[in-house]
Amino acid sequence: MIGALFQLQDLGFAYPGQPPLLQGLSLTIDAGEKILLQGANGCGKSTFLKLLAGILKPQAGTLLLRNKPPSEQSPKAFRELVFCRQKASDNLFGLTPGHDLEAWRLAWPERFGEQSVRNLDDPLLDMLDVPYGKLSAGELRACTLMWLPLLSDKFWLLDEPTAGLDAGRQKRFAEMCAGKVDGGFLIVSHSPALPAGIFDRVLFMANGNLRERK
Amino acid sequence: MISLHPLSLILAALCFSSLAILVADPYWLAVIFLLCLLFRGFVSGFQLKLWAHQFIRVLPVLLAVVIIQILLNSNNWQPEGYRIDLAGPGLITGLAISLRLLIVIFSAQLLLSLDYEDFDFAFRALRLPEELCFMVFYVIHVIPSAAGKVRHSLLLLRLRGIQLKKLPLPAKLKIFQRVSLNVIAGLLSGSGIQATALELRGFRSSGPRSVLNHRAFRGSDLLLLLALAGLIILIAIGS
Repeated sequence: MIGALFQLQDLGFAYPGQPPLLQGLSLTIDAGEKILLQGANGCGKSTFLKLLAGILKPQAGTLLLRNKPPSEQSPKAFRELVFCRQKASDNLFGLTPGHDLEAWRLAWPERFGEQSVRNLDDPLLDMLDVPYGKLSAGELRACTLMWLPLLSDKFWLLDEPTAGLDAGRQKRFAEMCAGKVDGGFLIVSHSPALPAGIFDRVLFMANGNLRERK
Repeated sequence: MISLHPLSLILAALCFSSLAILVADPYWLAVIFLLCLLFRGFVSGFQLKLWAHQFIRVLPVLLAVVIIQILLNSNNWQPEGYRIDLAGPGLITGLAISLRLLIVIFSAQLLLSLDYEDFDFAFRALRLPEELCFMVFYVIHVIPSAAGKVRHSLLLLRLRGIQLKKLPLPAKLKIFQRVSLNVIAGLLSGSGIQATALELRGFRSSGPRSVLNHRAFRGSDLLLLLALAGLIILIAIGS
């Protein structure tokens, strides 16, 4: 689907008992846009992504995902998105990568068929039965990104996707982003592995608001 | 809001929940419930919206208890046949059980507002070992922690566009099996990590323990203990 995916108007958010983190934020994100979001630690980037994914609700202004607030959308609306949080283990279902694959297969049976999964040719596919507790932080991160090639037409909302990845995986991830044709992404990252050239827009968050970097 | 020593809060919660079990009279149970609400309001604020939300969540259980008690009331079985006595002893028993449940739930919420350090203060005041403090704290937080993990797993499915209601039964069962395994494994590994953290702090080492923060009892703690003692005496005389 083309057109505005997210529409934000005067968005405001504060955690209970805390000063406002985001205020007066207005933005439109199209489904095919490739956006890099940067900003100082704690400025509200991850919170912003959680708002877009409907995990948090804004206290002021409007936030629409396909013309409806994300928190009021049915699960069906999220089939257009892939959301990965900063903490890799928060994105994984069940106890092993195999369980996570089962959940993805329930959502997309045709995409996550045996052959499609085998074609990914990722060494992690040999570790589908290894419990998450026995995987390193980098392997957990790689597990969350492993399925992205099968979801390349979706809009990716990724929070620090390269954190903990080795140089080889970071390079492959950057190549995958650069070669993404259908569907855009909004990536929060400070990694030099992701050159600004692969993005259509670079947004900078400061003082609760966003401004575009030329 | 009143600032009380954590031990006073734990004692108050224990007192309310014990009274809920020991007292049978529904009128006294209603009084205890109101006092429990007042106490919780004074301690953590009168969050009426939150209370209403919690009440609505347990309402189906309470209604089920009342209906079952009315239906199974022995007075319904008459020589001429079965008839439902809506205002009979079944209703009173149902209301009493519902009030007991509400008192236990609302007083348990008091304990949930305490963090580990608060429990440490309370157990230290009683000169009880920190192992015990850790175990009690962990048990109290098991259910909310498990509920949080279930919510997180369901959120993951929602974000993948999976509509649980529309899944066939075998797929649903598989999902619930994965979620419950994840919850149990998470709780076990979480307790293991917490126990290791305590070991690293040397909580079983010999010699007197040194503490960074102290918390003294105040006049309000004494007043609370006197009020609780007064309530117990009043109930003992009145019922």
